[in-house]
Amino acid sequence: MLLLIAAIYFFYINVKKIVGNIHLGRDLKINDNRRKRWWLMFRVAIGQSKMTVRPVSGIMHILVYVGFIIVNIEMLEILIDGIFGTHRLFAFIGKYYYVLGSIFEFFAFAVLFGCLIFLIRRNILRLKRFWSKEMTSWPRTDANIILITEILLMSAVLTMNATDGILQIRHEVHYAFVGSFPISSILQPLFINFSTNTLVFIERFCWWFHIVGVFAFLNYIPYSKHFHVFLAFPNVYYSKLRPKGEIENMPSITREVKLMIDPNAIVPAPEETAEQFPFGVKDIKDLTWKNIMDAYTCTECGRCTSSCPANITGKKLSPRKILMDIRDHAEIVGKDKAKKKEKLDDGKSLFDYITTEELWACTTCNACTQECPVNIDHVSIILNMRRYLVMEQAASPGELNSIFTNIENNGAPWQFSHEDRLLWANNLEMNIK
Amino acid sequence: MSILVYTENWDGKFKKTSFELVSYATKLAEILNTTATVLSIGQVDPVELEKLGKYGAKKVINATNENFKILDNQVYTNAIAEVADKEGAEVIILSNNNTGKALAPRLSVKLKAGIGSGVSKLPISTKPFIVYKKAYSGNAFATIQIKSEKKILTLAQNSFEPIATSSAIDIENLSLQIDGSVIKTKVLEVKKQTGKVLLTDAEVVVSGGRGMKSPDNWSPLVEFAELLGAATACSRPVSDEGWRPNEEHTGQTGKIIAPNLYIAIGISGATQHLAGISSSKYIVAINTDKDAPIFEAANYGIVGDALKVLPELISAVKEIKS
Amino acid sequence: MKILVCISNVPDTTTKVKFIDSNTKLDETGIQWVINPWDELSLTRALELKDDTSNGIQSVTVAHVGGAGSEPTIRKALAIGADNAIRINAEPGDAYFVAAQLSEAIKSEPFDIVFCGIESSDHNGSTVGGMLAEFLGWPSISAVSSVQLKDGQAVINREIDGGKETVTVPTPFVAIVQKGIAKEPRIAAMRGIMMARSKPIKVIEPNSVEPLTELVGYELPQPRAACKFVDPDNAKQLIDLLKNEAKVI
Repeated sequence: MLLLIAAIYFFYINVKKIVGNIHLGRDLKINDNRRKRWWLMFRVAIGQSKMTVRPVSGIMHILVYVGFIIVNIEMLEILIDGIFGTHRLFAFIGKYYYVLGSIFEFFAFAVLFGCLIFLIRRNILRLKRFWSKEMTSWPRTDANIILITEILLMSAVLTMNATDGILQIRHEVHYAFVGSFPISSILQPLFINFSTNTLVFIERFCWWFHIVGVFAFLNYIPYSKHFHVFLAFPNVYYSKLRPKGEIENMPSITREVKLMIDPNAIVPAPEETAEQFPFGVKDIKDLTWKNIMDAYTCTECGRCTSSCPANITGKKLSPRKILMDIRDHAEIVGKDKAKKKEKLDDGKSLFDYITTEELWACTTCNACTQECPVNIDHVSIILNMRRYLVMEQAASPGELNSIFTNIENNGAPWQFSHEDRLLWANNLEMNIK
Repeated sequence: MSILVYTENWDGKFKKTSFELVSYATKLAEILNTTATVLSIGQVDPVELEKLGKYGAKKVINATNENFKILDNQVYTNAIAEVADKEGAEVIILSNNNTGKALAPRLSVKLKAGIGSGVSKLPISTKPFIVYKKAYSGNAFATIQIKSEKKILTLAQNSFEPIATSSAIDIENLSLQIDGSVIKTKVLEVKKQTGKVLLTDAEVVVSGGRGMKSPDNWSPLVEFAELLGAATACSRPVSDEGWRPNEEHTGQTGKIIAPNLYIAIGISGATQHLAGISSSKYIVAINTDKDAPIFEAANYGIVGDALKVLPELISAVKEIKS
Repeated sequence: MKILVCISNVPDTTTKVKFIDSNTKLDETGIQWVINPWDELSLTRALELKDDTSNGIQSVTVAHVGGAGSEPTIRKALAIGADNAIRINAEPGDAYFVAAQLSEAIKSEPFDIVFCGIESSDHNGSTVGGMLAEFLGWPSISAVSSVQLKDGQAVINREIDGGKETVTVPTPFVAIVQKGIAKEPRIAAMRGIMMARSKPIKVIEPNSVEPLTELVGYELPQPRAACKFVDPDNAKQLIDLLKNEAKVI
């Protein structure tokens, strides 16, 4: 009981921290198109539609994901058992319990199998996207911990059921007859020769191992990429619905340009003063809360990076890395804010994590946003960091600066007099009015 | 009121520029019905000084002092002004090279003499005194009247042919007094290219642009230049990319040159590049694009691939030489 | 230390130059006015020196001789990053006139380094910098391709025939700069343009100075004879022409 309360409490604290970090970003209202958004969430997050683009991993993931949900129904029984000291309370539903239990077992095994396959793909087959530069030891360890934990927990459940089954046959106290479940039955021969006391010990051990493991895992999740199981749903709900190639205007710039053209123009007052926020994004506080939520939702799967044409051709850009860097820095900024530090960062900005070379390599093709199973918008972050470079610092590469100068002076990106603009039409037989 | 012409020396030697100036000054002296005196500053041998006589100089003042070793603009300006005063010079002529550009303006203020800078021929008229020079980076010419009594002219390089005459030259040695403390310029280091033909002096220049495609393709160009006794140059993108040294960049913000022959290979002819070479007497262009702007400025052109044409040109020159 | 950069207002390089009033004036219709390219590079270098806080540059000022029509160009310089500007309200007469006016403005404040571009792309005089230095009585270094500050001392590279010399000069001095002083000119960022609106342009009236020279008129160059094309398969012909017709090799 105590454990339950403690687990829930710590989980709550950590989630609150993450939510706080997400709110370090700028305000953004996303309350349009509710039906479309619910449908999108249903299709992409619940329905896993984008995962099945890669069939092997897609199907395995569906098994693990569905399994996770289903097995958690059994968790309910375990929790109640734990609080009230009962054993397999739900057994009162009679023969449906057997069906239920079998379903649970099937999925427990599916999860175990899926995670095993994932471990193999990651560590033995060494799929390229799991071994990019940004996948340093912590992300790799994180992934392996998750997979191994799931395997252990599912093994515990199956072992528990196996030993429970044997104990039922031996008519042990507490172990009312509910039947042996299909998969754990296969395990039973392993234990058949153990003494009853040992079996009870094993069964109880597995029960406790499982529940404690779940509580521990629950509290591990906020520190891990596995948090996506919670965030994926709101993240997809709040996706960008506009066409992928569309880049949103900056109202502050529209306003500035209108004023430059006509100082007496009537323009809406700025919502935020220009001093508070720079043009574009330099640091966490300049991102929108949705960008930061994207960073916390990132599952580090690497589909974005593996489909990025810049990355594939050897450039430094890795869309995944950008999201991971944002999460890392948001954590630091969040900590500083909690300590009520005056400067909300460690003296660094996102540009200390993400180099300009990476930013300029992006072709804004949106392959990354297309592939992302949780609808992260990488391109908007890259574009807004570029906006900071150009609009605050004029720090664009020399080629771009010459283009800007030429457009300003000659009305075209090249070094030709604007008087020559119609030269191409000289030999054409047309009347140009 | 006479003419004073300052001829710079390089390690005690004169160059074509110096002789151009002497011929120009001599010619101008004839027009103004006066005499032209040459001023040389720094350590120069009498044998070298006599060379000036071959271009019409009748008198040269050989001003010397320890402190002339470093080009300190104020020290040199004061020296020239002092000699100009002593000689009663009304017109002072210098070259429009780096040194001339450094000294002439200071002299102008010191002597309250109007400047015609970068003039390319003798004055169009002397009463009023009107000179002719490039304007708008070579896109036009301007005629300027110098209204002050004293006048300074800086002669654009390679615009006046030295005229060989012979004349006996009178060398006057003048040891100037200069207080060492007025020297503000201190030299820390000198880096000189040796051996190769200097771009600013060269009569023939062979230049490469982005159309050469890669720095690895430069050897035929260099060979061609060597055969012609030419200096090598390049366009801005080539020097920016580091394919060729910065010193070779010719163009509006690079070196502005006026050789007799400028051969542009794989250069499109953007306005800024043309601004650097428009005073060349002859321009040749080799480019694969027949519409490249360089052909509008060129006297001769070949529409073709430089890498194919260069070997042919090289063998043609070798033939002539043999 | 305070730096001053002299800027002049010139037509953009791609301008097709035309003259009016019997060829005595530039036809200004449709002309895009820009900062003289060499002055732009000086300004860039001055700002680079200021960015390096170890150099202790307090401010970068730009100075210009011109009428109110030059204000957009001055604002551009402020947008690129200059802190303030001085405009001497007079049409630029000749280089002597301009240098005299500038020297009065500079004398009134304690500047340490003055940058001048070697020439302006319209008059190609190469004279204002040197004249200014003489008016001020300061040392000048010409053909400067790099300026650095090391331990409070100015280390300057100047071009000499066939190479370069590294020299040092005590402040205050005038540096007359050419290519190499900065790799690329800086451009104005949006933020800079916004801030430029509120940066001060001090307008002062000119002293009376008589120009020593006067423009008489302009002339357009003779149209070049059309290019004589040589067949690429017969490249030898080019060498023949150069030797026998043009007589340049």
